[in-house]
Amino acid sequence: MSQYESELLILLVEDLYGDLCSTVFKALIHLHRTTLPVLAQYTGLQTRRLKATLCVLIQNHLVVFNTSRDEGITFYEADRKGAYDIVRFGKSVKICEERFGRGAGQVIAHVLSLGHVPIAEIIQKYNAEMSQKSKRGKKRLRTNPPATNGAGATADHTEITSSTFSAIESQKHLRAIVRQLLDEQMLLPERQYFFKPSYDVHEEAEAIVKKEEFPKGLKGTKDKARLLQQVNELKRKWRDDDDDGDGTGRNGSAAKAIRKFKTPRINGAFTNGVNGNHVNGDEDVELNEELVVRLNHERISVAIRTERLTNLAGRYLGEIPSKVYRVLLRSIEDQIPRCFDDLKDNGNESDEEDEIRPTTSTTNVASLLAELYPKVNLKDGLVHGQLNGHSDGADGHQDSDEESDSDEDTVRPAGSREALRENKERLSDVREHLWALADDPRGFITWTNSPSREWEVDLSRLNQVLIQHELEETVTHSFGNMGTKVLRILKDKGKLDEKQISTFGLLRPKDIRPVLSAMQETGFIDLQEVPKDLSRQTSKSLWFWYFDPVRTRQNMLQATFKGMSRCLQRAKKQRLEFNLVVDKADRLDIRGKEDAQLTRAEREQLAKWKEIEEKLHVQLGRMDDTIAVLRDFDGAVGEN
Amino acid sequence: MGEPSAAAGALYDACMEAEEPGHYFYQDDLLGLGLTTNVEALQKLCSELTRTQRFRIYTSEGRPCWRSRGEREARKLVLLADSDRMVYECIEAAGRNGIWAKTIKSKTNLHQMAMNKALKALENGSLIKEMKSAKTPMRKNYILFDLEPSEENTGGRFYTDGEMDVSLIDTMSQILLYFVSAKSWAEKVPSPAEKAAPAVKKPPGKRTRNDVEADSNSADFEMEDTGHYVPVPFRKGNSRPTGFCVPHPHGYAGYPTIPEILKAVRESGVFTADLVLSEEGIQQLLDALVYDGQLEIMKIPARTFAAGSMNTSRAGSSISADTAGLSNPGISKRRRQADPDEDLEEMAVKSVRRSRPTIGYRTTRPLLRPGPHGSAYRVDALGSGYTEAPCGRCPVFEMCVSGGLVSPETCVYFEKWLGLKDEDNEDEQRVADGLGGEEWVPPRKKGKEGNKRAKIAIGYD
Repeated sequence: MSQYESELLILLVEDLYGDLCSTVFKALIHLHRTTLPVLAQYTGLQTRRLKATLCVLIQNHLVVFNTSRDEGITFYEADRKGAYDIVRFGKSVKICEERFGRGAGQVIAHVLSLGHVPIAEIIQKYNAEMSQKSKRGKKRLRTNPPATNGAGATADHTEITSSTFSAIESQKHLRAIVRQLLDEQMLLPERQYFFKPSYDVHEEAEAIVKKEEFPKGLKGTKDKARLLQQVNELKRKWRDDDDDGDGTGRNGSAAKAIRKFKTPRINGAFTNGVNGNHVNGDEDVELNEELVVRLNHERISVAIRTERLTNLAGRYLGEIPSKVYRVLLRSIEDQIPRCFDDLKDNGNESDEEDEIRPTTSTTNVASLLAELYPKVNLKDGLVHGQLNGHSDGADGHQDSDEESDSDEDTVRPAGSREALRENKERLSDVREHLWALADDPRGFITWTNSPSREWEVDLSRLNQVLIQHELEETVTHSFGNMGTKVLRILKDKGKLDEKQISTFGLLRPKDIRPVLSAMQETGFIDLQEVPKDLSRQTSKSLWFWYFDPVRTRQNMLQATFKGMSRCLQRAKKQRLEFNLVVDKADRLDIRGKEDAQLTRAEREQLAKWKEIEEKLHVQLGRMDDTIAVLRDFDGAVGEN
Repeated sequence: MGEPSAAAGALYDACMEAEEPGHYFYQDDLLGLGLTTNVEALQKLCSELTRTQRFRIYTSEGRPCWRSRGEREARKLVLLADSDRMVYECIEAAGRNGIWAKTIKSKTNLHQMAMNKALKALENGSLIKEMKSAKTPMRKNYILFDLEPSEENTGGRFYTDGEMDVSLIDTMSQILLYFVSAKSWAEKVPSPAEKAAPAVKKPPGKRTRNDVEADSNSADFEMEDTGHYVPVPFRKGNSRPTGFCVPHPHGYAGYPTIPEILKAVRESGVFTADLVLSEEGIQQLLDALVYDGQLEIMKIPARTFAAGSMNTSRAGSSISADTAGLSNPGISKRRRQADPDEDLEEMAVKSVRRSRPTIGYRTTRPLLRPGPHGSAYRVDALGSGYTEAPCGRCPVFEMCVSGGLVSPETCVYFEKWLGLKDEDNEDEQRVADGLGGEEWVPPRKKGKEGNKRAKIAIGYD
């Protein structure tokens, strides 16, 4: 774990949870795995206070812990992934809002502010707010519009909670939203798995597997491989399965990674059957109110990838195909529980089958398109007529046309005929756009030629395309077109000397030389020396440039982490300059009544600060997009 | 001594008539010329010609042979000193490859001074010339005056005087791009109804970078401005663009292939040089443009109707399928050098390959940013979140550490980026520094007088 990442995580925790939390978190980052007494000594905090702080940290998924069975000692560890997710809070809310409505965004914001929470408490909170609102009247609602919520990724969450559920009409509505978020796997039942350090989980799983499957001990590499596979399987079960069991219990069928709109079933430990939990008789939404939920950050990553791919398609094909692509990606999202599965056995024979290649059909896309973008005129992005004549039948294009032709020929009432024709036309428009995506050299989708699952998305390849694109964008921005050209040549051809690069790129050696060395300095490409003879003279050696995607990616990841922490540090410093007015505006008696309570100069100051903060936080979010591409979509940094 | 005898002269003339200077004659060839049948007589004539520098003797596979020289060179050579002639022979032997001055020295075993003198004499006599080699640009190479340097030395078809001819490449690339662009994207002209009601669309000119950054919430997940509503950039002719560029429908077979591009360039008559105007030359240029991100490789569905007219349809790009982004690895995985032997092989397998999809080229959709007044300008890249921040472009980013000499707290780039530093502030700072706080001149009123005072104050310090 790098220095810059740690630096960033500490800053993030400090920014959102304050000094006390960040002190403890920082200590945990530095000490790695540690016990309470050591931590107390290191931080100089009273044990009571330290415990309280740890509680908060655990509640918000910033710290994981494990109590060993034999000795009863509890070890604490910082949860890096969880801490990094703080950056995505704003984004997560935004995504859910955009997809499931503002109410859903508010629910997510509430869940995020608490880390994890029982559904019952969400409802309770809503009820409390409703009664308060009816007491106070509607005045408050008007003076404090929720638009100020969550401006930046890490906006003050107290504000979020103060007017939490303004967009939710009724309790029924709330329940429906929660149900939907659970169905979409945006909310996830909290599991013990998430609170344990990965090391402990692994140890535990290994112990169980060893005891059950290999009572006589391990022999040879084959057994070892099998052990690893089974350990991963068990871990996967703990992560994905509904019952929080300890390896016994149900078999792994439910742990199948791909679940189509399957409802995460309710914790077996709590319930006596799902149906028994209705609060009101007329509720038509099934909810287990005792279920403790948290946000599923992996689904957020999937959503971010959808957006990134959409942007990529937009850059190369234009707006309308990209919208169609977005819809297509949305339609397959329920087949992808996460961007990549770190518990999948890599290098095993099952590799090929396991590769995630979700599929969808034209009809699916068309119907979802009508739902999501009713206003988009598909014809805007199409040229009709001149060439359709000789598009060959090999692509199945005509087959489906014929099919629908015969459909039309069958006798139908005259009224629906028009609608049918319109529908058919729309389908063919959608298909045309999909073909544009498939024809693109980046291969956004592929035609599979089977009727039910017409289009396939090769996500693992697209991950690489995205990563490469991100690297190229960065290089172009920093070194100009020449840098990107050299990068592409090196990626394609492997190790080359200067002369060869100049031949392939038709560039003058003296022009590329400065670019090459500048790129080497920043770690985008590397140089290898191959001496011709034993004397190892510099002038007699061959010098080969090469591009190592994994290493470059790692470098850029670290640089981005560093850039992010610099943004936060700058924000911190900038806040000091506006300390007086920001603190004043933060006072409870002033908040919400800034116009009346602050002087004009103060208001101006405040506005200026808000602008600066927003700019820095937006930039943070944009750098997070880079991180998402480089780190989250395809976990193979460092391995390949 | 300078002139051969009449008989020898006749033999030489006959040789020159039969072949160009520089040809190798065996004994049988010379006998075959019909001037003499006597071997001994021929021997005499040859040695005379050798003495008068018309011939030079070689052995090939144990048999003697003679190489003819041009009359002009021979006349000059006769007059040269021995050392000069040795140098000349060295250079002559190197042929079109040329020879490095140092190699001449080691071969002839001459003193540096003597060799320099000889080279100078030969150069002045227009017998040799200096040659620039692309392989070894720093070396002094020599070649016979009449010879053209070999391709190896010129560096290939895009080299002039041993240097890459960038302007030639640029011009050619532009021409290729022009041809390809005309067939790359379809133009969509909005119907009058759409024009009248642009409410759905966002006008491109209204959205600037700042706006994108300002509306923080929406910026993250809104479509980036990809310039969809910006006019088609490459167009045939100079007419004003009226529509937008959209992809051609599936099955479009019009993406230009290499033979087509070659034909178009030939017909245009812009370039006549054969070297450039070969399929290999075009291929090389196109590959470079693909690396440049200006072109992309498109699969063209097998065109049954045009199979006859398209005499070559090969997938010869040396760019591997990965880069081109093609999912079918069979198409262009093959690597090909510009090698005549391979070309023959190509011809042989051409018939097999015709059934496979051909490769055509398409211009990459330009990335346009809206400029002022509804115009648009082309940009190379949008950059990533990292390069947008000051840190991504910071020259001293490596040194940056909180509390250090370069630190985020004192960073001038951040200051500029956040818009905290404006002209006034800068002035204020400078004046305050200059006066050491003694005599403060308000920056706005500061005119000539202020400056004078500032100077005086500094002088007193």
